[in-house]
Amino acid sequence: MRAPETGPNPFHEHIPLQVLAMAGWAGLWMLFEALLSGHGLEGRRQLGPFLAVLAAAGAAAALAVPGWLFRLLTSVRFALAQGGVLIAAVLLSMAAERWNGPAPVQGPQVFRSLWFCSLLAVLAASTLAVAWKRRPYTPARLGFLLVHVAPSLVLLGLLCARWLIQAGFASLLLGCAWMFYLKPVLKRREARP
Amino acid sequence: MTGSIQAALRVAGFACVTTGALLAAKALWGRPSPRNLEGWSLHCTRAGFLLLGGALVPWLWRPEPDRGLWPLDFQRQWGLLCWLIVFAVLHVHRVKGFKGRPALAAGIAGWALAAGAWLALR
Repeated sequence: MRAPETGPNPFHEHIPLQVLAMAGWAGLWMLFEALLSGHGLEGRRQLGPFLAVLAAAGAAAALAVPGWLFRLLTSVRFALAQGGVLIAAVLLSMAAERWNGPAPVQGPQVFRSLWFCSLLAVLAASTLAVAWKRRPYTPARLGFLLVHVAPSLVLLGLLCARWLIQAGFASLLLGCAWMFYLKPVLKRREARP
Repeated sequence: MTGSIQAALRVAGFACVTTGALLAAKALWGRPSPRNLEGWSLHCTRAGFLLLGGALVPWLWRPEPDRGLWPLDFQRQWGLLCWLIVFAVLHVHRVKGFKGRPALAAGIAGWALAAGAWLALR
């Protein structure tokens, strides 16, 4: 069944619902992590099953509701919801560390957990979808492209190659500089008679 | 050496975000020309995003082998938090219906959250 794409208050425009959905998504990955730990898979050994399930979930969603998924991933409100959930996760981990909260929500455990990685995976998918949506890539959009491809490069680099991390962050900084400072200067120069 | 550059970038980034929040407060409650101040506030926040992003680079560029890739100390976690907050604030400025006063208020709230986290969780 296809999810509705239009309506008075569709899901991709509703930030609180999106935040709840992200929390639910993270909760599912917590359960999956507990399941893997129950079967004796800890640390890096969880990465293989995580990527396999993540790829299967992504492929299933892309096949079942492609239009709805693309609209959601490219929505600015969804980016805002993702930012909010990631901020809450980092704040929670810092607070748990400061006040000796339960170990699973303390800093290092959170940053290495599958549920945090799953949130980053959604962020990467979102930024790639936005980069794809903004084709063709004119020089004015180069900064936007770099900024939105960079998080995926960084995350891919965390998985496989250190130089991808460096390329990702270099792209991010160059893209930010281009978007925020170089593009307006170029536009002003073009506007001159 | 890398640590001091990282710390300097973090401080400079937060200074830019603070300036952005102050300009946003001035635009919200001050007189005159709130429209112009909104642009300057956004400009400062963008500079903060760039500098805070720069502060994250050495952590990912040269991770300590014994400590893993993710930040374990408070300073780095707080830098990451600030960067995420600025990410959210910059996106608020692009949401239809949130432009103008709500976006300025979000900038101030974001700054307050970052400063509160520093004070309460340090």
